[in-house]
Amino acid sequence: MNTGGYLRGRRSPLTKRVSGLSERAVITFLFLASSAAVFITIAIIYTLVEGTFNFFSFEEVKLFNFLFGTGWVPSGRDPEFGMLPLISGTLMVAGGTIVIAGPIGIGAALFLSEYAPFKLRTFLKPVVELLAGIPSIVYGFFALFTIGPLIRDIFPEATYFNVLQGVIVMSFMVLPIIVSISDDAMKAVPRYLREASLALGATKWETSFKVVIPAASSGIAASILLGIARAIGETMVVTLAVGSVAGFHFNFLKEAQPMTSYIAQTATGDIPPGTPAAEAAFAVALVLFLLTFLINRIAGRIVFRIKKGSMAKREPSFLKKKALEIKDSILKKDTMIEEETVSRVIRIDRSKRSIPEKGQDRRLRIRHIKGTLGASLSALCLVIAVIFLIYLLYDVFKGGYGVISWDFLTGEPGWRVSELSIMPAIMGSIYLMLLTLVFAVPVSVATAIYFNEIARDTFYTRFIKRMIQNLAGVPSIVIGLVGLTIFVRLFDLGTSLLAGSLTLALMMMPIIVVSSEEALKAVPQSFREAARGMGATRWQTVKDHVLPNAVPGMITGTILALSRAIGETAPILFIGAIFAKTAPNGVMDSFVALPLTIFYWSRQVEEYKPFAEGTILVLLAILLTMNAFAIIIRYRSQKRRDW
Amino acid sequence: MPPVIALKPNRNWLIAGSGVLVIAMVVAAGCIGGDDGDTPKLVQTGSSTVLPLAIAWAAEYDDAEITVSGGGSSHGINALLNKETDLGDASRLMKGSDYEKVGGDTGLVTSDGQATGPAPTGVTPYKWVVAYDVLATIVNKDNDWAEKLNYTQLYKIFTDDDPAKYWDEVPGLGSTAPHEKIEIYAPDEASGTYDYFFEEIIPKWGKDDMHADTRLNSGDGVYHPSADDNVILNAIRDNKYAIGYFGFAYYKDNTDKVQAVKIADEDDNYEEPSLSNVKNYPMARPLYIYTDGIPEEGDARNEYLRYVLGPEGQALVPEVGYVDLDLVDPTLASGQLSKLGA
Amino acid sequence: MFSFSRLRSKRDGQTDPKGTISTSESENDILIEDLNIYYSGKKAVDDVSMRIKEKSVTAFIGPSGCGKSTLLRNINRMNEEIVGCTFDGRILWMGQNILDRKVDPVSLRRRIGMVFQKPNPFPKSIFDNIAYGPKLLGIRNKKELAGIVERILKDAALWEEVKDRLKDPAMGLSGGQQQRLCIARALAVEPDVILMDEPCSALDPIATAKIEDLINELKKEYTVVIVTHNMQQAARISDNTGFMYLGKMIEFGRTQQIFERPKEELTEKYIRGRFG
Repeated sequence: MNTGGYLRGRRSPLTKRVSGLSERAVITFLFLASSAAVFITIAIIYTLVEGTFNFFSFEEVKLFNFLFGTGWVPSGRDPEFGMLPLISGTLMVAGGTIVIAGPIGIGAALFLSEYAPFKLRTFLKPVVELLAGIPSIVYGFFALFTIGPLIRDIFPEATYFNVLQGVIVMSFMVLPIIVSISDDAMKAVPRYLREASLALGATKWETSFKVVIPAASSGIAASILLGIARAIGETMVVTLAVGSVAGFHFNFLKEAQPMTSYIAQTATGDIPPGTPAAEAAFAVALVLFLLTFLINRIAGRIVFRIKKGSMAKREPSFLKKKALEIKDSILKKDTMIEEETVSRVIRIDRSKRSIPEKGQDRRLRIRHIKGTLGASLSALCLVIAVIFLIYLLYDVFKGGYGVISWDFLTGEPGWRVSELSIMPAIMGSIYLMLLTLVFAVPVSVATAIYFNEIARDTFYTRFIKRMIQNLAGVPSIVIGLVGLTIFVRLFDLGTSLLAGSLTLALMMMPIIVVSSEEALKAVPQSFREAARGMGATRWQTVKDHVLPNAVPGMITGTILALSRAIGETAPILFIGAIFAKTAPNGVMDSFVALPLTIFYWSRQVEEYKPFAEGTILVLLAILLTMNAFAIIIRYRSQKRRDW
Repeated sequence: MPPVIALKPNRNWLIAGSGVLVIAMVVAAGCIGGDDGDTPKLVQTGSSTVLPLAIAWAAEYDDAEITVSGGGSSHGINALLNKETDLGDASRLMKGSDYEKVGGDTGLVTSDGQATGPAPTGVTPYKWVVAYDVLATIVNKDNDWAEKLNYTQLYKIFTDDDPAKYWDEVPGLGSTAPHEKIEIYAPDEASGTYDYFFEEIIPKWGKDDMHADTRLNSGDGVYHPSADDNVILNAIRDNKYAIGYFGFAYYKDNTDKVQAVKIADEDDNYEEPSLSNVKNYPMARPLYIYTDGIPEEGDARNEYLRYVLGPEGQALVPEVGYVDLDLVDPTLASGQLSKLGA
Repeated sequence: MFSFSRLRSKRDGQTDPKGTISTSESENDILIEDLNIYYSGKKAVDDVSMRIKEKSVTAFIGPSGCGKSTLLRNINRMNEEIVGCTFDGRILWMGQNILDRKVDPVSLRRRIGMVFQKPNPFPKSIFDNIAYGPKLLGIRNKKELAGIVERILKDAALWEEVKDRLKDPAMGLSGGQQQRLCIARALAVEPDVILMDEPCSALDPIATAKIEDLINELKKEYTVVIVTHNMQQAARISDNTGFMYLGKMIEFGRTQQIFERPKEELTEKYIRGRFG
């Protein structure tokens, strides 16, 4: 097809590199793009540190009280800034989430990995991952309006906002993380370990429970940690369902304010700017940032180890191995001679039996019952997740489809409940997404190409790679603060479409880099070697042979990232508006977006609820369409490719 | 098994991918260039009390495209002073401290919330009274002992000054009230409504020698603060012995769920909270829009304010749940309109 | 469900004269009859019938992919764990067709243990590796477990090497030690038959020799079936040898006879190394 393209331009092998200059220019560009991660990191640190500094420069704020105070009354007449109530809120949410999502997630992963037949598995895994594709605002809505009443029925003392409803919903939100990483870890447990156990006469359940789970324990631990990090950093569910009144307690039926909820409150509540109450958001965000950073770092290391293949947690470290060897060699001095004799002297005497035969039949029956029970339980975990998903979708659909009309989708919005329309929000979201695409994709793809194809493994590249990994774990509300500080205020872009999409681009960049890198890695090494072997330069190789084959993967990854961007609420909470009559028609215009509309309407009188549900339906429909596109592109490109 | 030499790059995807990117860029560029300028654009932000009104006006007004957002009165005034918004909504008067935050002289702000000189940012906020807000004290539908309350009783229920624990401890209710615990569901401290409510019932509120603090700050756990009116509404609907308060606009949409209490600022001049009774009802306050100076004729803000203060704009006010200016003072609207050159 | 502990008493009741290698037929021999094994419908083992004598070493040899491992793995029904693997025919042992669906593989595998090609200790301590089986069978008492672990490790000639570090991870042992640990682990559930799937292919000659020593000891008490690539090994340790080719059992007989006077041309070619 195009194989002859560059050969024609290189007839004489001695020709000076025609593309020398542009090659260098391209590589310089790629290098610069790859450094964007550094600037983003600096922006985050600048925002948080500067804001925190402002916060502590207020007289009434004391570091000791901030860290150990039990009262969080930031806007009171006599303000108190003791973080412990926010910490207790976050702890309750994260802890409760893990108590529910941990067992269910591990159970579901166990079923997928050990019990589900291949076909069922290929069907169920995407279903579980669908849970991850639902925007957090939808979860928050579901928690407040569907789970909430159920909880108040069961526990009449539960308040309207309570920790429990947030925890329940959050559990299903982090479930995909736990399931997919635990499942990977269990799948990575070598087959021969299972066989060893089965060959000893263990039941499948015993093998799963006593061999597979312990062998995968580090991966499972990592999945739990990542789940915790997600729960800690999640904003919309806690803002909508858990509450915005901080109290130092551990009552799950009461309202609480996790850290993210406070930060969000400074965006949506009536907290006066320029006061310690407003600046406190930055200090809280710094704590949040450091906390999630730490957890992600630890989990990241474990996952990295699993991916590299050294899965056994109990495999001794290099040092320990060495120590054992030395111990061995010392021991050997005495045993060497002895060993010879030992092995000759040995007589296997089967008359000494230890295992009683009596009762083994009964024991076996019990073991089988246990096995069946265990397997059913783990299947149940998956069923619970699927039921939750179906119920959520059904509930939103039931409530929302009635309000969907041509006017609702395309009309000019009025203010009365009967005249509501989401046209400006749909357009706002689409513009936001397209602009995010423009800002995030070139830089991200260039970064991926630079790291995967051009850069050598140096300290600097490892440093930036790690930085990008870390960026992926930054809570979205922190990104929101960064957008506010850097784009809205520092760059003076105001609360504009431009500022909003740049903020979302910050959020999406690490995701697109990772998916693009995966797409590049999927291109067989032989392609590069063949091209390089024929004398193509590095960039020519990338441009002519690697990129064309990686683009479908990149498009898929980008669409998935954008579908996440369109559902994000927290990053644009500080930037988006609540009402606009028309679609924005300039990048400097203020804008409304679908998730913000859902958020606003869900806090209005009950008459707005169906409209919020209708908006959720539209949002989900857009997400579903985008995902379907991504899947089609992936499928078609896989069908076409011959490698 | 990948072939060793497989140089058959499929460029279609590359073209498609770049195509999408280019289209996105064109659309984005169109976004920038598409500013046709037919209709002027205004940004309005601030008090969440004013928000529903602002949305209603923005929806009905056709001569400008207005984007509205909330964030609180302080945010509205601050955004105006920082030139981040054209119209700053507030449910309270501008204070010297608002000037202080942008590095201005507190003395330039009168006690009437007007600026006598520009802030360092060059902005001189000008105050427009656009409507009145009525605050409703709310109890459960089944509550038949506290259908009317005076300021003394409210003080006993809502402050930390020897507060009543049970309903029958509230002075004046006596034997008609049950011996049941009072539970308060009401806005939190960040809310302007909270400030306003206590300004009414606590003498010298906000001063160093104020008579009492709020029950929320007493820490006895009776006052359940919430940033969400929905919560307050539902909590009071579900709890026979609960009491709370929020804006009348919110009550108006939920008269079937809770009942509003008649209020007296003296001993027994009980008044019903309603839009028409605003002149007599003690808990009513003005709502403001601040602009940078008095916008001149032809300015989009001038036209907008004329609409807001004019009959069309004011006609919307009661529908949203607030009190239109004429009900309070018939000269208020016309006086302001004349400043706008109408 | 049929289980094997009932058979145990039957077996113990028999008074097999100790030490004599019986040429006579015993109920404890493993009798394979018309066994076919398929992978997704493709035949991997083709109509194999043979008698594996008790308390002897039987070796399966043959080129890669000839089905010898598949055949071995069917004796304790490990093939059931592979999706798409089916079989028909019979394997009679202790008066029971152990391929019968009614026979519980969990119970069967306890009686017919298996050692794999690659040493596969659990990522647990040496102690826990040995104790894994007995624990499943209901032994919870710490002292009792410790007794079993010591005895079994002594049986496997590993005790002296590891007695000071029973709590250390098994992964820290050398390859040969790991494999002996795996043999010990298999012995710990007190089986009657031990299947070995190329147990020495990953080991150096010294470690191999140790394992071969151990196998020599084992056959006095256990029926050992071993698959091996290494013809010398088969010649050294086995009493009977079966040569397989393309899923068929070409020839089965006394080891000496197979190596010195093979009846089949194919066997001879293979043994003389003139294959393919």
